[in-house]
Amino acid sequence: MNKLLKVNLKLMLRRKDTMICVIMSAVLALLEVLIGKLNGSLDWFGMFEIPLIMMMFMSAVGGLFISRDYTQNTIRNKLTVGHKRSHIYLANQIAETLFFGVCLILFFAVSSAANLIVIGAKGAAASDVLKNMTVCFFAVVAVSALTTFLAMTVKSAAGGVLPIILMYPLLMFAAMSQEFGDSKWIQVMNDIIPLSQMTVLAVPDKCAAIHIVYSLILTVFFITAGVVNFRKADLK
Amino acid sequence: MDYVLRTNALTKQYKDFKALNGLTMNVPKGSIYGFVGRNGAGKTTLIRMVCGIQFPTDGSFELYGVKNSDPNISETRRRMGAVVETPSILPYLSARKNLEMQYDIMGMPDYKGIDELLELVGLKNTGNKRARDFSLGMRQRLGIAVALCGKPDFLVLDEPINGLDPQGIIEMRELIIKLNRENNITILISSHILDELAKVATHYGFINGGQIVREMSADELENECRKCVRVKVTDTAALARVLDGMGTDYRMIDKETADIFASPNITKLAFSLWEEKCEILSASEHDENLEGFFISLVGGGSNE
Repeated sequence: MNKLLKVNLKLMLRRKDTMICVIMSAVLALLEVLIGKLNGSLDWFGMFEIPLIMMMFMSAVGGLFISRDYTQNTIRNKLTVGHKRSHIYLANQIAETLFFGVCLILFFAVSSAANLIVIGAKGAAASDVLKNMTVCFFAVVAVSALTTFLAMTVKSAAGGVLPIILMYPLLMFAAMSQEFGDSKWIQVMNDIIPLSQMTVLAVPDKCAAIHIVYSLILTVFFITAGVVNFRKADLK
Repeated sequence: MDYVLRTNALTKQYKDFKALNGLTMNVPKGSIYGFVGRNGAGKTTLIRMVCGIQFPTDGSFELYGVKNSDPNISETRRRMGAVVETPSILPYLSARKNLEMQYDIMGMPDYKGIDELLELVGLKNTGNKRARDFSLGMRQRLGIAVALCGKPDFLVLDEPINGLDPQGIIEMRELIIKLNRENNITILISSHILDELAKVATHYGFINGGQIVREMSADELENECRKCVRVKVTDTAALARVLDGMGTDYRMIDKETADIFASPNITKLAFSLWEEKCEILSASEHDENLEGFFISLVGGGSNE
């Protein structure tokens, strides 16, 4: 699996779209601080509004990265030389998670540095910010697992488009809670869905542990379902 | 005889369509095995199964004696390379970078041998040109080079000359023969261009409706396709006696037809048969090629 992971990472470094995504993460962090400063609304929790936007392009680029293995048929090169299907899936999953993780960590690093320079450590407890960052990180890992699952299941370029399309129904519950108030089941759905979790990070997260557990459960579910499905799948 | 690939009643069912229907075939070590069949006969399905891209619904196959159900089959597949339908290459990388990626996938310790491979397939001077800018023939050859990474001793080529120009076809033929003779690589090659296949294959498997209808060596095929005079007579026993007496090579087809190889003296033959009270009903020159043999084997109907 290490060999496959090495190849995936090498290809990610060669691809312009993945590298643009990484650079965009840093640019967005600076933009968020700049706009907040200009509006006079800059605080430490403003940064948590951006990862939701990042998810849009990261899922598309990450999904396309994996689906390219099918559109260019290079997945055959891995199977024909004897790589196990579970290893191929997991190598893709790890590469995807690293891509999402690196983008997010870079965003947080740049954003934190800019916030420190502009507003200093005032206005937020470090523990609250770190807690939100952790929730956000695990939510992003869960989205990366969903993206990998979709790309490895649809086995075509649609693997890059589907995650973006899915964003809207997944955000539906966050919108519904704004519209219909805090109904119990809407609250539960918002706790489970990683993207909905991100929408409540503009303030310190009171249910951080629950959100992290839900994200971990979703991650394990999508990886397990993806591996089981891929092991039995007929490819072209 | 040693076999690289043996299949046993291999079956692949897609919902209401059987792509392979109990296919049994044997690919001898060191051979160039021509896999001949119409569109939809099951050639690519079989190749995909051997490569691990699809799974059989019934039956089994052995690769170098390792069964497909054996966990070691993945390890055994390291001894093979394949180009299935279209070449599996990264279009945004050069030929060299494509091979480097495949070396990485295989976990090779270094990139030694890449220059040799590029030279073998005639892509040594392509420099930094990206694969997406290659001609179809160049992409096919790069696909073969990728399949040859790790020095496999079994190469599977699915329609390798599809869409190539005459020069490309000649180059591909020379490459296949070179790989087989100089590198001792067993090659399974499926192709629709039968005349071209006839120039390289040492063994044949004819597939129709998901089953092998005939397996034979090139020598056996040549024997069956030899130029001959096909005669229809009233008494084949008399014909056999006369031909034996003349020392002529022949083959009985049915109760009243025989193929006489070489050119017999027709007057002498007719006179000898007349003495045996045997009439010649018809005589015609018969010359079958691989295409004709294939059609006679599977019928000339539509492949829809």
